[in-house]
Amino acid sequence: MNVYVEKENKNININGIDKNFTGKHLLEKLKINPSSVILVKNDEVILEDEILENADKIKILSVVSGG
Amino acid sequence: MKCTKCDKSAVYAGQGQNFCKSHFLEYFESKVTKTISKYNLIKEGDKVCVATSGGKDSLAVLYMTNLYCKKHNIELFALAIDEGISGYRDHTLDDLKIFSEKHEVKLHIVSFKEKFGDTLDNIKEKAITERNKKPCTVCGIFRRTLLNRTARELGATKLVTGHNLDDEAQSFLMNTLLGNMSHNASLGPIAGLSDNDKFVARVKPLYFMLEKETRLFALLKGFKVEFNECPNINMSFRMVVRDELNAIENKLPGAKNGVVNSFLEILPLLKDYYREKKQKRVFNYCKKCGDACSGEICNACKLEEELFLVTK
Repeated sequence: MNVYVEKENKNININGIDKNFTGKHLLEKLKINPSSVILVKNDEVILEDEILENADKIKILSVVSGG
Repeated sequence: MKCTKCDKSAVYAGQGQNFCKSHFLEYFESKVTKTISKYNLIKEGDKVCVATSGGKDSLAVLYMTNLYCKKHNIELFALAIDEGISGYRDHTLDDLKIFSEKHEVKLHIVSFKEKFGDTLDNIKEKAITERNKKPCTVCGIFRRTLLNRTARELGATKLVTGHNLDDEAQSFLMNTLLGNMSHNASLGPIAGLSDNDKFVARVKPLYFMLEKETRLFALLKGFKVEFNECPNINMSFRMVVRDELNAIENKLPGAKNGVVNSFLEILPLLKDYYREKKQKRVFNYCKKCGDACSGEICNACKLEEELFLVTK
């Protein structure tokens, strides 16, 4: 699974995820606070309870910006 | 998870309600419009200036205010400040120019360099090393001054800002942690304490919208908003409070709403108390620029002198 983390402008590859691996699990794994991001799976906005698969392309968009 | 109102997949999970894309947009637009009406933020006969930077909050507030003003036949223009932060403001201003053209909004841009003699990039080293001032302090004073002064010169009666619920909760907590309760009296959907003709009334249509909701709105509307954080924010106290507040919100959903709603209950008392206190003081006008201030010269002119800048 390819994951793009917008705030750090970096791509991460995560392989071999479990069957019921969700967006919430992904954020926990990356230690990202769900309140500060929006999840996008294959160009569609999703909620954290959505199940993710190895072939998915995920974007983690940062909610905060500005100064 | 499905939308509470239809069978489509939800893109938003609020407290007790989930929305698909179209129902989320409907929810957002309705809540912002209600805020404008309920607090009488904009009314017939106003000339509205929207302070904008090209970021998600200001594009969302510009879009929503423009929608409201068109519907009610109210004059509107946008105003952007170019602080001179390379690699940051130049990008957002480019996005803003495209957006304003597309939505037929007249855009004015004024810069620190033009009005205060230099860019923030050049000013900040001197501010830190010689005056022990953080870039955010300098930027905040100059930005607020320039927004108010330019809006007034262009004949605006209202100055709309993109402050959202997160900003307000952060500001309240920052002021409280620092013991600056009088600063809290200047917050609220209509900012400020003084009815002075030198001050254009600052109003916040996104007051009850979470930062996450605003980002989602901008994303779903297809506004070109990329992550773009000010390079100076790592020196900011706001960032510490923002991250802590997000951590609390994660453990206790609704906490940010709780902070702002509690604050709104005491806000009328704070405003009355500090208005009364202020009335006992003599109101001055800055000897240099003529803006209203409490001392002989205003904070922006004082800062200009301290940093040896030349006003143009």
